Amino acid sequence: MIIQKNIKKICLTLLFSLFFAAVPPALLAKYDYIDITNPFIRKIPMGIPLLKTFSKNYQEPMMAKKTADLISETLEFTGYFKILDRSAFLESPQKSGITATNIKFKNWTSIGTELLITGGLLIKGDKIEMELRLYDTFKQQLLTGKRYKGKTKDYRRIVRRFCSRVIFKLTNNKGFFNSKIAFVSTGTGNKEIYICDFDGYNPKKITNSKNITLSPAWSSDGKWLAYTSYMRKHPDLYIKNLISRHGTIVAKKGINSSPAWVPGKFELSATFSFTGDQEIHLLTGKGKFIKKLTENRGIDSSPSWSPDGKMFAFVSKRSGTPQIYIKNLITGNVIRLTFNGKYNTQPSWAPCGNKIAYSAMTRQGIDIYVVGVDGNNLTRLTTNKGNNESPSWSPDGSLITFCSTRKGSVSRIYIMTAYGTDQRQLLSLPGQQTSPAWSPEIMNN
Amino acid sequence: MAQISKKVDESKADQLARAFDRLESKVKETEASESTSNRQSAPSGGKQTFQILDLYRVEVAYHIKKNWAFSKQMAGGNTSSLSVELAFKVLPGGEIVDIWFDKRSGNTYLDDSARKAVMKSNPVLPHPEKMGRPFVIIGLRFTDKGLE
Repeated sequence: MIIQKNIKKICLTLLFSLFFAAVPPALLAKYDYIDITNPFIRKIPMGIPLLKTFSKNYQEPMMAKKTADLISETLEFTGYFKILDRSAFLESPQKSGITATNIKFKNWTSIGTELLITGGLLIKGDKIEMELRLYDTFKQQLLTGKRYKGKTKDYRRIVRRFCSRVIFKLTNNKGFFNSKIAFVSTGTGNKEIYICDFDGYNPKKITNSKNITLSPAWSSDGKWLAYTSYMRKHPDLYIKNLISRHGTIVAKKGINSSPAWVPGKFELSATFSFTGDQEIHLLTGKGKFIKKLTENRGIDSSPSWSPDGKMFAFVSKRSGTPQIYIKNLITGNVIRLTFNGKYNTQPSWAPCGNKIAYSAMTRQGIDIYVVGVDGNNLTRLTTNKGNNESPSWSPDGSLITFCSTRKGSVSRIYIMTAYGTDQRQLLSLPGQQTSPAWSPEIMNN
Repeated sequence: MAQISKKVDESKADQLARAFDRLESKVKETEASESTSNRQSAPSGGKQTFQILDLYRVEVAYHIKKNWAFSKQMAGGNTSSLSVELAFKVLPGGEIVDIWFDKRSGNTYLDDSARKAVMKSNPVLPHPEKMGRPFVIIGLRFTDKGLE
């Protein structure tokens, strides 16, 4: 009887404690919620200390700094991160180590670091071995890590691969670290097309027209570039393979301009005036005409394709002033997209598919706007800073490149986030730079 | 950028102003209810404790807001319709001892960012004198509505 009573008591106590353990604290006390509706920090604080060196090779300390700096620059370029000042660090991986068991995460969280990249390197002759790791400091968790082997001169490529890995891990998006930007520069005294890496590194001249070359456009595999050139004293359309350097010239009577490749196909559209009116035509990558895409009195030009290739935006004067329209190739319907202002041109369809960037001329000058494909959410991205033109999206849609005369009357290439923040000059070259075109991600870059 | 920082400043001011407005109206409500129905049973200094407690909560919330780092792009785009509700206990010395989610947003990144903001802010301000409580529970609702 006594035993039974005791068992009953124990069971009741257990039930009672289980009930309180299971009840969320929220039910134990009433409280109101205070609303916090705007993040104070729009970038994620990230710590990137110098890499740990493993041998006494004199090159290692220099390479440890060079690599850490390049990782910082590359990731900072995305606009997602605030790279913390190394002088604030309480711990050095050189002394503590680079793995989770050696890292005192409290040393990083206490200075506000949310993400930490540690790494080590070993140089033997002209070969380098590098191990890089990304940690969530609050969860004390390794998010991704990789060991790379290569030539010392390949360190930039290794860093970009790791950074792509970091971005993929954090955003589930491949990023743009393997992309390039084509643009027009007058550095030689003529308008020629150049190509540089996404961050402005390694600019190279790829045309030698000794005349005017305009409107570079990338194929969706990044292997072809189409552009207009006056090399033969006439605005012809050039379609060039960037590897073999071979290609086609389309030289119809009148204008052959503003090419735009159809996503996923070896086809492109461009503006031609051989019919007497500027219309947009579709042609193969070999320059064979497929069909006319627009049919209207007045100028139709500057096509930009939707990511699925079923629609394209273009500029038309059919309503009297240059405005942006969208043509649906399935239904054949054309709708007017822009109504604000009297001069809206240079549409660039975002890779996400639901937005279009364009440039608009107002009394204050030319500025870049973004609008939803349904015409809603019109946003001005540049303001009161010279003329801002020729927007082109990064392959992941997070950044936009454009040209601007904000520093005097000379046009330069700039970058900003898709929200218009973090506007900065991409590169500094002799002459003027215009018409930037961002490539897709290029494999085996 | 100047426009954005201005926007951030304005929104910061708006937030606090709204919080204090809410606080003021709450105090008025309490005053009204105390003066009508509960005058006899109201503890001495009750209104003052209430004000101190709510002011303390707002101060802590502001401190945490300053540590909230959130990137819309990393959250996967448009998160403005999402919100996460969490709460935590603060001991008299300001130490945060417990953090729990009352309502998750469905976006892990947003939930994590809110939790990290609280963790980064630990310890917060100590309880004001005369509060006389073993702990204070503070509930926060994080919503990204800025910079659309």
